[in-house]
Amino acid sequence: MNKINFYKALHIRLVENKFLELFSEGKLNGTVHTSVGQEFSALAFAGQIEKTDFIFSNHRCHGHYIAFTEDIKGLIAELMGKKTGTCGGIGSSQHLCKGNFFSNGIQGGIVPVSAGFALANKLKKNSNIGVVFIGDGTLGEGVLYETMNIISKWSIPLLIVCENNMYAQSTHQNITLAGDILKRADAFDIKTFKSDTWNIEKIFDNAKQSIEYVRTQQKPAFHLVDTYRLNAHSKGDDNRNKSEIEEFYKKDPLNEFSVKNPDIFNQYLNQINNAIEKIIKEAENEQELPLSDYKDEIQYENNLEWTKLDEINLRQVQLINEFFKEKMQLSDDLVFIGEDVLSPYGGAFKVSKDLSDLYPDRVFSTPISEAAITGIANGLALAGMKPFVEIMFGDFVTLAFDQIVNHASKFYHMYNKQISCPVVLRTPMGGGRGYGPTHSQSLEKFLIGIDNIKTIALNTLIDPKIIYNEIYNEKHPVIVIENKLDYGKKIHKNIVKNYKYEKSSHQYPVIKISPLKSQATATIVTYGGSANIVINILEKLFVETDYKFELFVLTKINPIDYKPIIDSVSKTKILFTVEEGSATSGIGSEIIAFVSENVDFKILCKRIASEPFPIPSVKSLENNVLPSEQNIFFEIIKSLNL
Amino acid sequence: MKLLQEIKIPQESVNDKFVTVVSVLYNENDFVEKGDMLIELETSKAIFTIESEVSGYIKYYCQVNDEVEVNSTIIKIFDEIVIDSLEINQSIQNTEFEVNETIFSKRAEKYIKENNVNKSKFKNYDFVALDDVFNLLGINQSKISSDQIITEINFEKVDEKKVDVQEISKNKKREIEYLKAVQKENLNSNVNVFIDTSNLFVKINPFFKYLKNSLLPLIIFETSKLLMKYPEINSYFVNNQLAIYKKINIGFAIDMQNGLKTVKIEDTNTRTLQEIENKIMELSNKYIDNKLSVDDLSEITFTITDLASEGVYFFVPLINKDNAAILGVSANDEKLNRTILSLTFDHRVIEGKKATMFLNDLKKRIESYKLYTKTQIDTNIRCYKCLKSLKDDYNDVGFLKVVTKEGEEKYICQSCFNGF
Repeated sequence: MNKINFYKALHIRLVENKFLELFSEGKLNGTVHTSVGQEFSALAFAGQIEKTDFIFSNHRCHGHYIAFTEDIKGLIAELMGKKTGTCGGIGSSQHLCKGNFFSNGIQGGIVPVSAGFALANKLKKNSNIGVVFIGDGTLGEGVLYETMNIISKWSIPLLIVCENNMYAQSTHQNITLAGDILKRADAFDIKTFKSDTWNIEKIFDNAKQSIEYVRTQQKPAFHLVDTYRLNAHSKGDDNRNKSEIEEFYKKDPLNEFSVKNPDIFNQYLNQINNAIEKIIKEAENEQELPLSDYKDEIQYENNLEWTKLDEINLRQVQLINEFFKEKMQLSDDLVFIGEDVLSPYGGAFKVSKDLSDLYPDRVFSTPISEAAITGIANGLALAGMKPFVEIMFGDFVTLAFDQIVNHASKFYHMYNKQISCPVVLRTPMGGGRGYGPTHSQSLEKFLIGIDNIKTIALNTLIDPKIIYNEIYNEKHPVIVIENKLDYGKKIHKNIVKNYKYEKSSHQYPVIKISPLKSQATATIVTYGGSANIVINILEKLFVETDYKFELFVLTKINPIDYKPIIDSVSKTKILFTVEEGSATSGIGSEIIAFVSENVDFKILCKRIASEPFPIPSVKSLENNVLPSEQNIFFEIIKSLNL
Repeated sequence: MKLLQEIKIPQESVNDKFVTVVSVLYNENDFVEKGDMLIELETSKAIFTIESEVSGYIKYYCQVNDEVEVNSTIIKIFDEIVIDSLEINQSIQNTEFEVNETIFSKRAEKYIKENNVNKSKFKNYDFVALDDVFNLLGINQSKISSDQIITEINFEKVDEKKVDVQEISKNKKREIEYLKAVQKENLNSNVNVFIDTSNLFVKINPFFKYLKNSLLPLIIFETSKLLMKYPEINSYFVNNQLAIYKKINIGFAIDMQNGLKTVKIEDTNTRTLQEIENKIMELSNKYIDNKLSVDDLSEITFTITDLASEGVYFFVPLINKDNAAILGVSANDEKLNRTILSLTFDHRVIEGKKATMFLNDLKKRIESYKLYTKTQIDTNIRCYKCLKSLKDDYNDVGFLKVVTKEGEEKYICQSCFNGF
């Protein structure tokens, strides 16, 4: 056994002990989870893997970070909140990123992300592999098993290292864990390895073996490491039996080393402590990141041009399908993932028709695992691919919510803009097909206002290929709402007499449908599938109300390009919003709030939306609950006091 | 066809974003000479004209009464006649969008039917709402809803039996916008004059039984007559319009033990000095006895507040709701022999110049009592303008006999004659 490993292990331990000290002195903001007692696991895997490989770690990641990057200075400055820290002080203890090292504090969620990263390596055929560290507590997360199923089925070169310290925070696993850990991996036909942090030589050998297995076989493996953390989960949350801790303390290899070789140990101790003190002194004088470097201002385009819309004699779904066929030929990085997407079925709404015949390596038909496939797409995106995930029904997007909110949305900022996650998530929303309460919803209100994510809603007024080409070039995550009833409609075929149809010069155009000559006297804003419904009643609305309506159809519903709406409302002072979701905290609420904040007069306004209860399947009731032509017309008449 | 000159609205005044077209001096396609006056425009401060810099055929891009934005094109002059230029211009804008069929709203349709309006007049319209019908027929609809100048309007109910509602001029609206930017809602102004009271009380005290050494009854009396000459001072500002009261009901403020109240002397202008004094006494007693009725306190069209008894030598009164002005009467300065009259007025309704004229007229009328001699003439002669009888006129000069526009012989008092 090479002595250098004791030095490195001690280094990790002393840095973490220093963190606890700094915390108690009030010099660290937030929290610290230390891995004291588990250092040799970090060194065996993160220390022995190639630097071209990657590591995904969790909340207890300092050891892994130091073993892989040896960047003590960056880590200390990060936890002290300094600009020179690994992530500029933004991420701190649980959210680190440097080169091929990543960590996130969400249990389980990092597993599919690392599977996606590993899948990218496989697609690039570069023989790099990845290690994802989980703890025994993470064995309670369902997404882990979704991912184990997929990595085994797709032969993804990922090594899952499960550091089993027997406790999830303060709870012993005899309360939470059933059966045998390794059997779980076995069940997915994943090769298993087992080590512990007390037989150091063995863990180093086993680790190397499992790494080589994953690399050479291009298959996943599961490595269980029995270990014990000598400190609390975080700081004060320790109810474990003192005698139990005492026993492991004596058994700890570093403590044994200090007893057996006190001179060398003390020499190491002084050397490392001096180095750490020096780094802390330096870091203390460093600056914090100014907010202006961190925050991104939303840019609103104000010099708008309006151009005519083009009619296309093809159905929306054909055009989306064409986009993928054409783009996948041009771009090797485009990956299509979803349930039931293989030929000849081609997806529930036929968006991926023939795609897997043309590009069999980059079209992945997945198990029913929305969380895992979204996570895999996140990982692919972090690794430089351009994944498009299809969630079969918009209703199922809730299952992928952790991946959207805690991963895709966060990577760019929490890693201080070192990496971006250009993932695209497509999903059809909307009712009108009698699919009932859980297959008819319009849940986009839950998909707006998420940090750093654009939300796009297709419509049948503009070619979806134009929209998807823009989305393809996005650097950050995009969610695309499609509409089930719109798929079968042709583009810009719904034309109303005496109205002109124009699109703005925005990246994602706002469509304006306004009277040919007259000045409009009322404004309606909508998006997606509701656009056609409103268009159908424009003439009737004028004849019955005496008001000349101007309709805006948004293609981007987050962040919204408000300029055309505000310009219109400044003249009409009347604003209706129409959406298929329910009104509370919806897109309409957002539009009316923003417009009201930004004009200095009172507006007459009304949100027209679905009724606030589950959508019935029976046709007559479904029609009454959704914003149908009659419902919208009635609401407008009522609001205008006619 | 060559464009010789394009005329845009110059920025005449930094405050105006829009000007009003007062008159268009040529017909479409008329030949104009260099130096000809082409158009008259009105800003908030002045009317100005634009001259042609070239000779050629003229085409206007605006109409009389249009509100035109500064820097927009209003006239072009070409080297030859522009054939059907309006249609060319429209087709340029709308080549891509053709109107095939005009759509009428139900309201428009109903009005057209009931009033036998010729539908073919709307040939090039896309949509015809009721307002479009009114606009085409030149029916003067209250255009407030589309008024871009004043954006904030809270509509209030106006009783048209009691007031005549008149449009406020576009200039006045612009001025409101201009003043409002600085003073928000408070657009009041204040002017003051003093009355030379030397030898005045000696002359007027004999008229009164109770109110000796007070100017109040006299001021109420004379003001009521003057308000007939200045109807806009007997009015209020509502919904961006001017509501002029048909009656003159002067209110006077009392503040003794029962709180500040403004009480009404109904039809003030029809009453004699003595009647006014009696009314003041009656209302004051009712005030003290707490017996004022709602009617005594409502529908006051102009207010006078007299702080003479408080020993105040100058103050700025505040205008009451639904009034356009208030007159403050200060205490008589016995050393200088003068009393200050202070008029606070709503600048949205009344020009400073008008307010000054009103106050000076009032001053002259009051001071004229100093010339009073006891000769009393008992005739029915009345001034045909302010209806003041010769009996009520305490001026030494008497009335003039004049011939009215209608050719009738009438009498006129000297105050009205001054403004004749």
